[in-house]
Amino acid sequence: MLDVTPPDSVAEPVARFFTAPQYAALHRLSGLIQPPLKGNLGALDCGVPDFLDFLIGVSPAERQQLYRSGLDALNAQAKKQFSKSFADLDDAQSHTILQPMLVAVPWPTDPPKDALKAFVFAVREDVPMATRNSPEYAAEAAASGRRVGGGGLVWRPIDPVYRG
Amino acid sequence: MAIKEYDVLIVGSGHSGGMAAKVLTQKGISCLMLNAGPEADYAQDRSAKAAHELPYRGFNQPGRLPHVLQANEANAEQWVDEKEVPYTHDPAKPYNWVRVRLLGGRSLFWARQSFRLSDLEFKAGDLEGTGENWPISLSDLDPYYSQVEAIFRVRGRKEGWPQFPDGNFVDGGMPRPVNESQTIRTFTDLANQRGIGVSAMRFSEGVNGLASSINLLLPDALATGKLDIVSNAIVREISVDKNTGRANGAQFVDRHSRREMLVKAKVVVLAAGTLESTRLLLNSGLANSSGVLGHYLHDQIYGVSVVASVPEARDGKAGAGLMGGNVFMPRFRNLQKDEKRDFIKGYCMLVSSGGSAQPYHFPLYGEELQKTLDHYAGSCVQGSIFGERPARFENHVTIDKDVMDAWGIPVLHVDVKDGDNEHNMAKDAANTMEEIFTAAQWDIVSKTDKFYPPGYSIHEVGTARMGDDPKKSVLNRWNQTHDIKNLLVVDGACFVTCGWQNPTMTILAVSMRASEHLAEEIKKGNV
Repeated sequence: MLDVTPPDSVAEPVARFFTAPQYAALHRLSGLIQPPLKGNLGALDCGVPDFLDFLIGVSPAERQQLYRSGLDALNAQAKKQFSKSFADLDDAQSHTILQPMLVAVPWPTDPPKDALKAFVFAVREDVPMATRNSPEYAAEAAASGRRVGGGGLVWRPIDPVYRG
Repeated sequence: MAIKEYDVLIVGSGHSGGMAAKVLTQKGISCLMLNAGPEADYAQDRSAKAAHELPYRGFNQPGRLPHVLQANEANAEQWVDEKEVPYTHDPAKPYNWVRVRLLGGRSLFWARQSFRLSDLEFKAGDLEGTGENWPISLSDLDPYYSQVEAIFRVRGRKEGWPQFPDGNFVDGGMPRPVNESQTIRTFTDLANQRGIGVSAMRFSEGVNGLASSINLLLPDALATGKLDIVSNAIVREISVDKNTGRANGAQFVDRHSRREMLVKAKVVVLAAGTLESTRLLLNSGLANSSGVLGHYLHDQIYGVSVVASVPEARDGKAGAGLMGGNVFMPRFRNLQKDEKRDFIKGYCMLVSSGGSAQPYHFPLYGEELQKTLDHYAGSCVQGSIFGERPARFENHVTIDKDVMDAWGIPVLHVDVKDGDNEHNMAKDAANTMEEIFTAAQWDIVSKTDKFYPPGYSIHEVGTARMGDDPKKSVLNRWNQTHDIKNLLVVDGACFVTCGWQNPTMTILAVSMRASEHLAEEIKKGNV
């Protein structure tokens, strides 16, 4: 087998799903939810907003709507309370917006019924996972001699149906 | 080319089909096994990858396998593709049908928890005053369970409790542990004070970490020279001799070429998994003089859980003497006829010590969340359950003639919903765990009495239940269809009640018993 290069190491993704205001809010939100902690890279170090732009862009319509309307709602709240977009809020202002949307759930498969709370719940699940599972995080962990989880033994397509 | 006529055609290669093949071939009976999928090569078909190397970084391909909550990006290829073989259900009545068509079926991937049913399940009709008894009892299956447990190398601790029948365990059974953690001792004492027996998990050790048809059953059958296996053979329908009304083979479609093929056999044994066997009978228009075929689909509730934190174990103080270990509580509700509860049947409980709280347990993010998670790390005790869903006539499957799979075979429509019994049972379980954890002076971190939709447990059974009355059942006590004696179903479709137990040991024992009886009947010329 020849040694080939993964695309992430030589190219940067083209953001194409979220609008510019939505993307800016997602960028700010990602940094708040998963800042660099305990010597690990944070979401912004790991390109999480770009990855989520891709992931949500290829997801079922229901999930796309959850994210789009959630990010729009954050911007609307920020405009209403602070006359700024969500991306331009400081930490205290952001927390004022986010706090009413935070809920604890006993079970991750039973998200909140309220759409905005469900969005924040989803982002709180997705951003840390996208951070941990990024090539940047893995490279930094390897350089520091730390192990990262995820992945495992991956099945290839097993005798796939002949398509002609 | 002339068709070779086999003594027995076996459809399906999982635990039940593998056991049938092993028993029959070792008695000199020629068998042909048809399996709908390919053979997996564990060495060639898998490779180690980190999450960041996967296309979706471990998030799963969006929209793929929406019903398989167990799927992840690493194992996605092992499950049946829902676009190739769909099924339908009312969106308001979700059903998670989790399937594997690889040679060996779901026996490749099961959790290996290994229990016998007790007469509380076999004779549930008598105990509960509603529903049917199995036509057989624990004593009928006991010798078969023992043989199965030896083959699968079941480990467990003997207790002598009627609701938790002991088995033929490796090394005579596990000893009672002497160095349990303080939290496990505390939990055990409090559970015992409430009349709840505390034991240990029972599981199949298997061989080399695998307790599957492909390593424990099929090699023995192939060694006899009496078994042929055809993979990628998707059975369309069972064929019947128009003159005698007896099953005489099957028509299948080759998964790759789509060629339609016929095979001939003196006896047909269905072991394709509960719902695929029933789908095949329904598509063939056979074995339904009772009108019961497709009905009484049931399984178990999963998802109810309570998490508590042990105060003295927080902030990095969760040492081995304090935390760690797990215990298993077999059914402890409705053991007697006169128990007055708002639900029938029962559930088992699993409790583990030494886990951590999860981010979703707290309305926090960022640094505050991380501090909280660190505070609770290793300090948690978690309880969960498997609870029995009652078998109800109205929970059933039919053929959806408007939807075909990729090979033009009509698919199943599943119509199942939960009732008050399941919800009342779940509430009792969550409240019981909370009560014990609180009595231990542990702080409740989360509690839910919600559970996954039907099917999630991958323990679906029923739909061709056995019984002595041909008007109320599809199969007789030997797994022969009442209507056609040389047509058998030996998988979970035959169950009358599922219990709280993983059904695998019972499926294996029932298949072994039915196959031994079938071999005798073949030799006597009775089928």
